[in-house]
Amino acid sequence: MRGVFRSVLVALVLAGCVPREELRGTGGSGGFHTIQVRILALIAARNYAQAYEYLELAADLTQEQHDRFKQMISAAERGLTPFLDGAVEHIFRESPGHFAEDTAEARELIQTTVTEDNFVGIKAEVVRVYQRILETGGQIWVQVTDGTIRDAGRNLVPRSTEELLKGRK
Amino acid sequence: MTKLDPERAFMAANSFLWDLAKRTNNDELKVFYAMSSYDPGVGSGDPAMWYDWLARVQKIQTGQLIPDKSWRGDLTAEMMQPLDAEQAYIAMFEYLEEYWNRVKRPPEISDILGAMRHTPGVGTADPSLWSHWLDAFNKA
Repeated sequence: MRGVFRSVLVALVLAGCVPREELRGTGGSGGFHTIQVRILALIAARNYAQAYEYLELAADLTQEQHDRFKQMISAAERGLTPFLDGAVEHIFRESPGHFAEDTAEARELIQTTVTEDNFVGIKAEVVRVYQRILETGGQIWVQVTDGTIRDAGRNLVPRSTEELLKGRK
Repeated sequence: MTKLDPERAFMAANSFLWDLAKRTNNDELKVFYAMSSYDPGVGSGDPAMWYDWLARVQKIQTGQLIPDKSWRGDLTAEMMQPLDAEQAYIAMFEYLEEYWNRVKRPPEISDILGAMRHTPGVGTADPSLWSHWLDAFNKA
């Protein structure tokens, strides 16, 4: 049981992975990838202090990459709902209703939306829908299945609860 | 020959995919449906999916595709022609396939795509799916 839990935890933490494209041209001989793997392993082991320490020592990271890793460690430490690894490229893209860039700020807005207070309802039998309205008037929406974020974004014009759940079946 | 405008064809595709998800108890396809389900006047559950659909319709009709992850938000249904059942099916297949590629090819969707694969003049790999599709298309 403990082994299963650990495997699930590792899979969930992998949600912090960045799009594959970013691995190209970021640090030469796989530097970025190595940093990413090590930090994710430390997060999976819940060794957050060492993860922070490793991050601060890591070279060849842009400020944006550094901030994103820092947010990933912090989010795991706070027990926020993680992104599913495979969903990240779908979530962060230049499309209506989405964040164009995978940034620490966007991740934080999405992950902190997944709370019981922001729960809207269940759609398509297996998808938990969350939303919150920002002070700017925008709306963060999140779809969660099996404890991982599968889809999310930002609507400039908020949708109602009914609209968020339309087609719920 | 019956033809549907892109919006109706999208609703037919969603109806078909939901029924398929239910019949096969495929949770990955249900997750996809939650993003794709469409409400006229509001849009798709994930707002981008409607534009992904239109990009696929445009590709079927013109051969030109706005690449995945490029801005597609300027596409409108009025820019497209009505689709017959075969065109709409191919658009639906490519729409699902594009998503599958984007989310790192989950095996549950691979299985569905394998069964759905369509060969002109021959039909779908799982022959029963074509009649299900025609039912959804004609009801839309």
